[in-house]
Amino acid sequence: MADISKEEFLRVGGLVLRGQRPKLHPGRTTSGPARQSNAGPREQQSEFTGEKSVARALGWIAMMIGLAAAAIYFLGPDQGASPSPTAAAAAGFGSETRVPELAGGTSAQAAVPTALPLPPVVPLALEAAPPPSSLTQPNQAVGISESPTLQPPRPRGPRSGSYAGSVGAVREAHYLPRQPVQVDARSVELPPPWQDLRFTITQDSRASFDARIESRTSGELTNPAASLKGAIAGQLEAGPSILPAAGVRIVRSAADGFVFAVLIRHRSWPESVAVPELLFFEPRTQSLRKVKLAIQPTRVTSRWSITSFTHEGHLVYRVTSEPSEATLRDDFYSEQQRMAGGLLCSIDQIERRPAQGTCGRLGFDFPFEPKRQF
Amino acid sequence: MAVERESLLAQGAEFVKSELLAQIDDALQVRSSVEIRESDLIADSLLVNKSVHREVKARVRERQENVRKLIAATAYYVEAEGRNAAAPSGDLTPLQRGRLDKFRAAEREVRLSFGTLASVVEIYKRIHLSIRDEIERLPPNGDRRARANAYLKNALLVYELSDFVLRQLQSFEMSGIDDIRAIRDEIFAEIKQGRKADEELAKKTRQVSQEQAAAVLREIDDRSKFRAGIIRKWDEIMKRLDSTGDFQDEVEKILPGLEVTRDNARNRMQLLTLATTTMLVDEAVRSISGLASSLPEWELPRIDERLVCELLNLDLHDG
Repeated sequence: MADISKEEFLRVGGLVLRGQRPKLHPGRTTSGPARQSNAGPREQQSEFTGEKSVARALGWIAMMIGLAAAAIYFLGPDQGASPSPTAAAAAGFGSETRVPELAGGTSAQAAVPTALPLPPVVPLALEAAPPPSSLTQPNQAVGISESPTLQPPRPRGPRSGSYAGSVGAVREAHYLPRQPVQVDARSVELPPPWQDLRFTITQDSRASFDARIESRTSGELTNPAASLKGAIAGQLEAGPSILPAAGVRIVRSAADGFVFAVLIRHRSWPESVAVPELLFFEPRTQSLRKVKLAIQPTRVTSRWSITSFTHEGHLVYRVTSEPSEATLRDDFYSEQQRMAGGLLCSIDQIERRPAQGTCGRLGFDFPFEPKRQF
Repeated sequence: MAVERESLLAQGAEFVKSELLAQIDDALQVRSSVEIRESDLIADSLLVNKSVHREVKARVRERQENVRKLIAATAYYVEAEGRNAAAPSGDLTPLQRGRLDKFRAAEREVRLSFGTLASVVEIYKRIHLSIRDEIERLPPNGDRRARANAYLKNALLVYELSDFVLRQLQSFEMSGIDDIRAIRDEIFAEIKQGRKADEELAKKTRQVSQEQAAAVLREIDDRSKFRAGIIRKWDEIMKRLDSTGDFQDEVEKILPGLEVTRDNARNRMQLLTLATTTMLVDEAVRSISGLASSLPEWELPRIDERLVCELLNLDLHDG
């Protein structure tokens, strides 16, 4: 049997799941650009233990902001695009020029842009990371965490709300504070095992911003998108108010900010209850607002639950009591559709699994172009 | 190398099994303090049971995460063992280096993806075989309570393992192949462009001396053969990489069997006998052993430095 400890397996596996290429233990070699692991022992912890304080919840939200900002940078539509074949060929990399025994030909003149472009130069914040407890200002609370007024979602009539900004139909939820919540992005600090990651938001003008993610110890990450995915997955599984296996994704970015979606469950709610939320973060004012409820699960409880986000703006849901498809549609289309303000547009891929109940996907028609999920 | 792979898989399987057993031990301890049915000792049920302490739930989640890590590490170790140790060498331009790196990264993704799938299948089979051995080793006249506990433990293990493998296989996505296809398309586009340029050049030779035309046409012919060689090599490589799709199809076929095995294990937890447990394990092994034994047929092609250079049309000098 190979002589590798279980701890080493766990360390390597953890890093691989986060998209890194860890160095193997002495005696084993890897070729290629294997990076020195920056994982410490704490990286093997997957529990998020201790009392769930407001500050910690805020820290989590601040982290989400950092992730969201970083994701915009790394997952933007232009990142990582391959040069077009014609462009590469036009650059002088014609195949005939590489035949050694043949005369003539030109050498390659253009380099493939393998490195990500550097962010704009004016740093906004985020180099130092004070404790999460310094996140809040007095008398402010983020409703999705520990607000005493937070209640499980329940049926309601049409809500009144204020519409603001250029994000589209921005409105506050009934259980969120009326005032936009100020979140100090400089305080973004990740709990273990992600404390090694650092986010830097930079802004070169009032109208544009960018962000990057890097490792404090080893610099640029080899696979930042996968690292983000791993970080988010880890947090979602361990976090105090987030449903396991839920996803988070950027659904819109604009010059003034970006919107990200996250599935939220307060710890006081029944386990089957979760609410997908769209949150808007404006870096310039460092404000966080709730945008629009993607769906208001008014009849959640024992009938169905949302399990995760998937690609292209879908939610995966699971029905525990196996009602008929007609009942499901009735649930979603009558109340949910009304409550969700017309966002729900489809129910598809319904299938019955003996152990899991009925599963399917809900399609949502976001009023903007969804960006790539991570 | 094959020995090392076997050894890594054996170790991975051992660790996964120990992690699952630890999870099951936790579950069995719950039974002593919480009123709970045996069939509700499975992880999914524990996690939604309000009577189960949150620390137990946290441990269950951690164990599940650890299993994922162990599978990923096994695949990574296996992939690293099979990796060509030769580092890219030679005097390459930035463009060539970039293309080579992209190809290498994509190839690693393919290998790791496929390795993960293969590791899951192999580990599943190995653990089941070890469970069967353990059941057969149980003393037939031993303590009844101890035997019943052992059967329950094994049934739980069958369930948790089948459930984990099912989820892994259902959510599996092969990555990297599309990136390699993109590189191939890039190369093919260049080949097409070069071919077109040569056709135009051939037309121009009508206006030059017969001697010069013959020399140029000979070169054009050489280049044409060279391009055909590159295309042929790409076709071979892509055909072999695409065979992983066949493997995925085979995996799809065993999913219903795995599901039945898993659900059968759950349903029988409260009525366990040696015969039924053994039968369960046999069913599980049968459902996957054919696939596991045919894994070598889907072994990914070795892509050494020379082949990469040929595929990418790189002029690489050892150095």
